[in-house]
Amino acid sequence: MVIVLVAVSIIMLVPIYLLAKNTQVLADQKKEQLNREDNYVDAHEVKDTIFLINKKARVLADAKHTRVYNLFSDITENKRASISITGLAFHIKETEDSTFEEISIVGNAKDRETLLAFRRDLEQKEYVQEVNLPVSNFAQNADIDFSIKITLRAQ
Amino acid sequence: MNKNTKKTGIRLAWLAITIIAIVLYLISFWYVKSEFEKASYALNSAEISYEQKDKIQTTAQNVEELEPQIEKINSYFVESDDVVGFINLLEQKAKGQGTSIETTDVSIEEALGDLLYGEVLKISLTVKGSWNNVMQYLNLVESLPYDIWITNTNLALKRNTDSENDNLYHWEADLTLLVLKHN
Repeated sequence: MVIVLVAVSIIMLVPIYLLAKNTQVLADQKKEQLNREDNYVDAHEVKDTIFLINKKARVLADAKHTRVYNLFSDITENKRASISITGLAFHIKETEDSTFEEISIVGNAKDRETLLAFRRDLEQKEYVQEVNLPVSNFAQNADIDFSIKITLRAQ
Repeated sequence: MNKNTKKTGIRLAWLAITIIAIVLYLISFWYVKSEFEKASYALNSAEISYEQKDKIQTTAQNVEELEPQIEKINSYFVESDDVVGFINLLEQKAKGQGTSIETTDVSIEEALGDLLYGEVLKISLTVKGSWNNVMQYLNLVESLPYDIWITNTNLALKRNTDSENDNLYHWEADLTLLVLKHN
C-alpha cells in the first residue's frame, strides 16, 4: 500500500518537474533576448551622459562671477563732477587662506572735502567692504592726485 | 517454524522495498524542489532585467527630452576645437565696438583644481578706444553667452602719441579673462 502511494507521489512530481524545467528555459530565453538588444551598452551610455551633464551643471552653478562693467559703471557714473578718474583696475587677489577682489581708482579731486566725500560715497556702496585711502593723499589742499583701493565684499 | 521464517523474510523484504521507495521519493522531491527553485530564480532574474530595461529606457527618454537644456549647458563652454573661433569672436566684437584690440596671451589655466569638468581658457587682451567704447566692449565681453569672467582689468587714460588723432587722450584696457572650455 505504501509503495503504491510512493509510486503515485513520484509520478505526480513529474509534471511539476516538467513545468519547472520549462519555466527555467523560458526565463533563460527572455534574458538572452534582452542581452541581444544591447541593453547593457545603452545603460552605460545613459549613465555616462547623466554623470557628465551633472558635472557641467555643477561647474556652472558654482560660478559666481563679479561683473567688472557694472562696478566700473557704478563708480564712474555716480561720482561727483569735481572728481575725475584717470585709471581703474580690478584684480582677483589670492592669499594663503582666502581670495578677494580689489578695485583701484586713480584720479584727481578738486579739494580735500571732495575727496573725503568721494570716500564716504564709496563706503556706502553695498558691494564695498573696505576703502583704503592713504592719508598722504591729503597732503595737498587742492587739485589732489589720489589713489584709492577698495576691497569688495565676498559674494 | 519454516513458515514463520519465510513470513518474516517477506515482511523484511517489503519493509526494505518500502524504505527504498520512500528514500527514492524523498530524492525525487528534493530534486524537483531544487529545479523549481532554479526556475523561480531564473524567472525573477528575467523580470528584474526587464524592469531595469524599462527604467533605462525611461531615463534615456528623459535625457532625450532634456536635449535642449543639455545643449544650453554645453553652449556655456568653448568647444575644444574652437579656441581660435572664440578669439576671433572677441576681436570682431572689439572692432565692431570701434576699439582697437590686441590679443597678448592665450593659455590653458590648470590652477583651478576644484573644477569638476573642463578646462579654463585664459586670454589676455589690450583694448584701446574712447571711454564709452572700451566700457561697452567690457559689457559685451561679460554678456557673451559663455561662462566667462574677468580676473584682471587695468583701465587707464593715456595720451595719444598719434598726431593724426583729433583726441588728445584715449583709454587703454589690459584685460585678463577666463572662459570655461570643454576638455
